[in-house]
Amino acid sequence: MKIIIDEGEQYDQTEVIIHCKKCDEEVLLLLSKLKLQEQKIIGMQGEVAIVIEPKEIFYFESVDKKTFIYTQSQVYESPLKLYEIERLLKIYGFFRATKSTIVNINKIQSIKPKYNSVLLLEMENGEKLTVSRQYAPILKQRLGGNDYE
Amino acid sequence: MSKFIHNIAQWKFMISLYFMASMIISSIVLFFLGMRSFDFLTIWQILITCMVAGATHYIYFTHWSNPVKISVHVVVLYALILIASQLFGWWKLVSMNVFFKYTGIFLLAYSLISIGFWVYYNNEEKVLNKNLNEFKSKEL
Repeated sequence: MKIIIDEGEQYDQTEVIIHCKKCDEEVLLLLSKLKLQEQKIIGMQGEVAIVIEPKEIFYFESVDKKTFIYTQSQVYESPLKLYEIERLLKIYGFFRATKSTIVNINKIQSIKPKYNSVLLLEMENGEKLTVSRQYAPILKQRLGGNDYE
Repeated sequence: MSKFIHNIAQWKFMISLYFMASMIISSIVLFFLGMRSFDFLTIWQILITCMVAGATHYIYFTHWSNPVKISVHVVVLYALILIASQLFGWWKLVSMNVFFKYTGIFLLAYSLISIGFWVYYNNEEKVLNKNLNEFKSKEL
């Protein structure tokens, strides 16, 4: 893929034009990644609403019918339900780890399989999360690799 | 309640693992002893033993250190097999020689299964982390 960046004072806003023979999977992936830049999540900290970029989020957790957003060191409350978040951020590297958590794959440091078929995730901030046996195959599939096909 | 359901699901999973391993091992052992079939009753006896064995596996989910977990599990599982064997008449503890023979067989089988699991999970961990790194580099 050829990438041309035309920088100039005459441009008021950033514009992306894709020239392609066919709108294939590669182009669609590129589009979804561009859209990721636009996707924002609102997190509440008390009365204050904060705009959070998905790439800053480590995971979402639902506790007592409330949804919490965990970043590197902050916790926010989200007005969204887990199933809404799952649908919204699925294509951006988020996956359902348990019935009450959605994890950002890009923030996982390492994965350790346990003897009871659950996966232990060590996040980049040192937190440890688990992927239940029910959802472990989904993560393996998301990570791809011919080893699971 | 959900914790209870979760534990039941774990237990069910462990029972199926133990039952599968028991059937394979006992089939191989019995084949070499010249037996070609299982009694209906024996299958249920094995299943009952596996249900208790599945519960002993919770030792591995404790916060004890690995050597303690393994030691306690080996002893508890062997005690269970010994009791089940005497109860169901799989083999009779008639002398110390028989005891040592079966203890040796048990330890060998336990070691082989443990090594098998260790190799499998070690490989699984490497593959998962390799795929994770590839996924993350693609996303960048």
